[in-house]
Amino acid sequence: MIQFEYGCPGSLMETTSILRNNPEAVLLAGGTDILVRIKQGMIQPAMLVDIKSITELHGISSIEQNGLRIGALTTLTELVENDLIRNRCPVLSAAALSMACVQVRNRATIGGNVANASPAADTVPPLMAFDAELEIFADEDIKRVPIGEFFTAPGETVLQENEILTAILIPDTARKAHYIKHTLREAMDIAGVGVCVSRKTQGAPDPRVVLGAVAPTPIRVPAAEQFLSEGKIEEACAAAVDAARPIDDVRASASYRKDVIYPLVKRASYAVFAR
Amino acid sequence: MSDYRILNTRAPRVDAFDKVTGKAKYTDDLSMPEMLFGAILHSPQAHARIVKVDTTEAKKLPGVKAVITSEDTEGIAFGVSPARYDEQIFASERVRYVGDEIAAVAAVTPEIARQALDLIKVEFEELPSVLDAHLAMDDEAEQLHERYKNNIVQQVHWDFGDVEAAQKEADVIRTDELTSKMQDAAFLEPQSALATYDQGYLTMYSSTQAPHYIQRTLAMALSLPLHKVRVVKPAVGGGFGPKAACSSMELATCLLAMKTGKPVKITFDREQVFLHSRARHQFFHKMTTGVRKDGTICFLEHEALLDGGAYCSFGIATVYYAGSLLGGPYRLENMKYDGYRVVTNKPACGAQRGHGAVIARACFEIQLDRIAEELNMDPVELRLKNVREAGETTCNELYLSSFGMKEALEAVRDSAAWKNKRDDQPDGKGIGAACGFFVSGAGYPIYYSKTPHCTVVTKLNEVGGGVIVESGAADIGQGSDTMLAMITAEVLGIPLSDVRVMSGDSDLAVDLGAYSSRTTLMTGTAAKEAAESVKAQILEVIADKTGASIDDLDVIDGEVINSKGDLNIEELRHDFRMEHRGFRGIVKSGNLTFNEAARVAFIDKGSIVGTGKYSPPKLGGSFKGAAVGTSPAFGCSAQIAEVDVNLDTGEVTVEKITGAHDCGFAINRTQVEGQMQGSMMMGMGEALMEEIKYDECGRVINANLAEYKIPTSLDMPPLESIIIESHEPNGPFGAKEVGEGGIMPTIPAILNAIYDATGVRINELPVTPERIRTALRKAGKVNK
Ligand SMILES: Cc1cc2nc3c(=O)[nH]c(=O)nc-3n(C[C@H](O)[C@H](O)[C@H](O)COP(=O)(O)OP(=O)(O)OC[C@H]3O[C@@H](n4cnc5c(N)ncnc54)[C@H](O)[C@@H]3O)c2cc1C
Repeated sequence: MIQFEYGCPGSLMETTSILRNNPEAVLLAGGTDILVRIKQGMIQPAMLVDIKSITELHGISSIEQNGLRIGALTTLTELVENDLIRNRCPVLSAAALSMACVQVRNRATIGGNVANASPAADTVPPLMAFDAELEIFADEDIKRVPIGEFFTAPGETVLQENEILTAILIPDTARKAHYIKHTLREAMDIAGVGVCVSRKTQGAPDPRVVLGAVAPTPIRVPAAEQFLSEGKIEEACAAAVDAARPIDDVRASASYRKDVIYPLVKRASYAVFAR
Repeated sequence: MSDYRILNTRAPRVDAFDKVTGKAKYTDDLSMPEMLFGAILHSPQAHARIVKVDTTEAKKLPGVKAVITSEDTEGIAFGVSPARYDEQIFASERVRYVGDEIAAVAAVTPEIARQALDLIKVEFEELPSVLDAHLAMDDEAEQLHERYKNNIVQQVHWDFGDVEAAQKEADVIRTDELTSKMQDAAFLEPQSALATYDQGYLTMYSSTQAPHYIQRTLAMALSLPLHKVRVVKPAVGGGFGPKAACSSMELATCLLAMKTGKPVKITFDREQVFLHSRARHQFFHKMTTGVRKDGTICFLEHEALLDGGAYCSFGIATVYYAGSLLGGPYRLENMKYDGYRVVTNKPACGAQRGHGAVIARACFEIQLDRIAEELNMDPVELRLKNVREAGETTCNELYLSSFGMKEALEAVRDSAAWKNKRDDQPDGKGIGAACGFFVSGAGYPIYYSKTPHCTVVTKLNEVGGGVIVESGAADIGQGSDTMLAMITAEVLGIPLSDVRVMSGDSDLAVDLGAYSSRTTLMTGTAAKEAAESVKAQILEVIADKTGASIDDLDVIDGEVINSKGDLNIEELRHDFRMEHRGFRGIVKSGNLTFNEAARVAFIDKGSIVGTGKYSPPKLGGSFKGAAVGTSPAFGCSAQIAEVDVNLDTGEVTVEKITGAHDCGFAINRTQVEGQMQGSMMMGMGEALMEEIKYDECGRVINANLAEYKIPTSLDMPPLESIIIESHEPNGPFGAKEVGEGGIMPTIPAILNAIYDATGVRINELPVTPERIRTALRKAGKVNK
């Protein structure tokens, strides 16, 4: 029998104190990543700290003019169904809908998807394409980290052992975005390549080009963004291909991943820049 | 509309309620007092000599009740074909694939059992492993089994007609190749077995497709009298072939139960399902076909190499089927076949839906399209020109007693608006057609025997009304229990709800099992015979008691009807009413009910039991291997697939499949469509996604359903299922197979459509986006 201690704190303060006293403890949100890894024997945490009872981590609200605050425990199903998200950031709903299956989406959280730091995480490219910031509870204080500075390697982030991701902030949702998840099948599949392109809806487009699953972390491609802002879509696609550092794995070869970046960035760019 | 009241309808399945509400019990749902949990130690090595197995520590672990290895098995050999018993319950000297069984443990909890496995120390001496089927046949290659020279388990050399002469007549001759990958059947329910051993009687509950074969293998391998071995099949969540053979796991479960005297259960996890495999082989086909200018097929020269993994399993039959089933559905008088089935250090392959014939069919149907293109002929026209009709015999002596091939092909052609779409499609859109041909029940059992292939015992309920059908048939989700109930209800003239089916139990009757698409034709015939006997026995008594002639009596809608007028039933009814004082709902007037008649018959005769059996007539030619491919009837099918290929990414969207299948006669229309749709789904997965992947050490790297991809419901396009009924004279009410034949045309129809869409030919399955892009690049069709 796989054994671990289980804690279910009711507040952030309580959580950090548990974490401080139990260096081996791991946070548990929806459990759709962590339980799979435990069952596969990849990790054997001494303690799981279930954060689902912490009210501050729930809820989706409007911030600033047209921004969003998405509690870390927001489930993927909520991302799909919530009106505020659907109206202000439909690409995030679409990305969430592309993930897993209904049962998993009912449990899986956005915070878990981000904190898990898979290069193929589907909510991340849209979030990066909106310059999202991560709200982190650290040392009894709240800090903000731009999502682009959060990931350091596959499964690795800047998050310290006793820090908790509390929310994902999108300061300004006034962007049009398109996410393409390239998979072999329509459900229950992990992105072989993920592409998200966005632009501002008003004023200069200030585009974002984000690639998932083709580098150790999801990456922005500034060179491609520059080309897009000049209206040079083909050049942007080529720049995205150049920026990618994919690997061979059971899902696809590195060369195929490179091969499809071009058409996918092109398709996403046209979707966003089409009048 | 048919004249039947129950047959040919869409009656709900008899197991629908239990399945939908979760009441149905699968093997792993079963539990018994004092039951132990078993676990199996699998080899981590693809090929190695076993130097030592040390179970000392494992035996000491508290909660462990037994640890068994090859030392406990007396060197027993078993397998599928008696001539190729090459498997052991536990490897004694060598392991031959990553997953080969080395030991088993029984303990009071599953966790302790697994923990004990970690305590078993095995010392290996690594051997060079053979992972490539072509290299396996080299003289220098490491030999996996002493008996298989050059690692060849079976070879077939057939030469029908006169290929050499036919070559001279051909105007166009083409050679094409197709390679596939090993597959997993991806059934939902992992294998599970629960054994009890009590006073010399062994009972095994198992998620099997073939209780009878399991019973025989258990009795043989464990040296038990056959009649003291009972195999019971609870609800089964799919089989598709791999559950048709007895496994080491089933034998280990029995051994542990015999050793401990306690019930023992073992259930595979998903990884073990992949390691045990016994699913589709890897095929390498090369075909040379010649045709005349007018499209007449002159000859086929066919070479096949089958990679079957570490053991023979069903491999002999597989390599024969790969050749023999190209005998139909076309007029092909000259056919040469050279087939080889080899062993390699990979999980063993066996039978899977469309046994042996699926990839061969795909290769041939793709080639026909290429030939049609060279002839500048419509590929459907080319096929129509060559299809056989009922009454014909193929060059390898398969007699087609009914055959709706032409009707099926015309039906899909018309329904899919083939002509319009074929001529008028933008780049990236494509449409393709293909045909298929399959047995409706293997003509011979897997072991030499003149046994009936099945028996059915139908017993009238003694208290009056209702019957119980006892059969050994294995309903593994395909719906054979419903088929048996419908046939019985139809024959007896009673409602479906008055028939109860007990099946899948070797104590009830003999049945070879759910494989080779045999159950409807064979067990259906036996059920019909059994029900007819019951009916005759009842009517005989009624005729006697009423003075009517038995020839004038019938049961219709649950009532005994005399076609020559009224029946004198006063006295019978009086007795029945007297017997049922206080009962409600006893009929006072009108016709004699079946319930009354049944009771009257019982009182007169005692228990009324009807039996039926099915034994095929002598089938097939006298050449070597002629038995494989023979069948009392043959099903055939045609499909048209429409695809949209994204030329930039290689992604394929199947937009529609139109299928027509000749099942002889649809006992249950919904179930026939269900089998057709399941086949199309499975074929689509094999065409586009499914592939077991190995690392360089022979380990399966995608042994789970996340990375071994099969289509989800969201991937499935609209499927149109057209039922063709050619009324098979050898089948019950004209019925024959639909279980496996429906998969035959799917792969080639999709591949032909992809060619139509892209202009590139891909000779390797599955046709992934990556392979399409590679082919496009090779053809210079990629800019950049
Ligand atoms: C069948 C299946 C299909 C899947 N398909 C997809 C898919 O298509 N796309 C995709 O991107 N993912 C997929 N996943 C992965 C997974 O479902 C998602 O990553 C999900 O969003 C994880 O959320 P969770 O709440 O379940 O995380 P958990 O498993 O609870 O946690 C994941 C990790 O994040 C940490 N963590 C969680 N919350 C916090 C927090 N608030 N602060 C700090 N650390 C935290 C945990 O400690 C753990 O290390 C799939 C998983 C399964 C089982």
